[in-house]
Amino acid sequence: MAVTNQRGLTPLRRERLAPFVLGVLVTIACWLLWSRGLFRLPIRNADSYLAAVVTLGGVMAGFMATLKTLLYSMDARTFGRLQKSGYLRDMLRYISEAIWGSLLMCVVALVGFFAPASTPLHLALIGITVFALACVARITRIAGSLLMLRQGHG
Amino acid sequence: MRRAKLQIHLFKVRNTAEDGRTLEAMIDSIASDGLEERIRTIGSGEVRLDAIEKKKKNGVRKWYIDFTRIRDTYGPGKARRDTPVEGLDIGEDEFYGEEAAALYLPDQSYLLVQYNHYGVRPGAMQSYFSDYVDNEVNIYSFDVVLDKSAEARFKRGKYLTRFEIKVDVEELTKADRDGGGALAEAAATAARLNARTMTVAMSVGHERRRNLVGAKEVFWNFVNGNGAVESAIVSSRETPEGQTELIDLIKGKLVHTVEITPDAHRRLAAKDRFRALSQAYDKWQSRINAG
Repeated sequence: MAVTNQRGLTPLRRERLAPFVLGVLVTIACWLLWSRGLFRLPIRNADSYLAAVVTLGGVMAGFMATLKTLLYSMDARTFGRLQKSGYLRDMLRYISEAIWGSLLMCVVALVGFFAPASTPLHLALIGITVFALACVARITRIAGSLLMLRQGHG
Repeated sequence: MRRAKLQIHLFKVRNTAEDGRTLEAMIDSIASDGLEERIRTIGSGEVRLDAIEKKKKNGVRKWYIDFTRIRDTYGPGKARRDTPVEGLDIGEDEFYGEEAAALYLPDQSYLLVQYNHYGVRPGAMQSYFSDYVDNEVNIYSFDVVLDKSAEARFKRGKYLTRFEIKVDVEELTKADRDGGGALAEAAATAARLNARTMTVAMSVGHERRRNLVGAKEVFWNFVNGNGAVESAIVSSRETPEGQTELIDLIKGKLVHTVEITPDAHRRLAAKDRFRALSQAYDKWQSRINAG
């Protein structure tokens, strides 16, 4: 999977793993808090919370899909550089992770409406939401820089 | 009339985009466009591929092409030794045009380029071809064909007094990625360093006894095969008291110099420039056919 020559946790690998790690860590943290009684799970009267998560996931997925058009409108030079360096593959992966993360968020939240309220489900939803948000943050940061590049020699 | 000096440089042409088309196909497609449709803005000026002449000699296909940079701001005037400069007659919709010819060898993928400092230089030709078609990715790269003697002279020089390296810092390189650099950081750095190039110079000043020979290996390893390096100039001497020579490792490229007599308009006729390119080809033939 990783095509780098470097060993260990390079910034690129860290960037790739960050949303997963963050999602898992937050889930574990919530579970710890819950098991010590500091956190109330499953969430009571979760309907409006779940509805909000579905909406948020939908908005994020839509936003990420729109971001794909950035690749079309990007000037040939920046695009060429992304492609030539191999970073294009990373970028596409980041975008699709963000989209699938957001959609998964919607799906799990929808399941929450039907399934009986359970702690594991709500914990999973927290983890996935954190993952999706981290993915969106990551790609937004990159897209901003790429936009700057375009202005640079416009 | 005094003869003008013309320099010709040799490049190896590659298209580094995975699904891009060959330069041959690109030139063919440009040839089918009208003159006005061929104009592209490169940097701050308008560039156009004016003429395309396909020839074949001794089984070798030779395509002579001529570029024009349209000077849309201001230009030179007419001067006489005994009168002040005055303007040339030039119409409202007319401009000064700077020409630069090139000889493309489709079978061997080499390009011989006439160097016109005010005209379309190799870098601009590269961008012109790469950006010509909007909806596909072509990244032509003209690799300098090094003069073997520049490399040899660099290796021989024992008293290095100065290095100067110019690096294209904007590039998101494969090296960044292979080195494990995160995309967010690489893109942010590229965006922040808006200036396209960065120059690093190292010098020992004028003292004869000091030198940088210890850094020679590092320097060579850095420059060799590093696509981001745009120029690398070294000053070195073979003996402490010897003469300092400048070696440009990137531009220490093959150069052929010709003298051409300007025509009645004091311009260099296309056919003379094409002939000069052909001469340069004859000179470098064995080098080109060796790959």
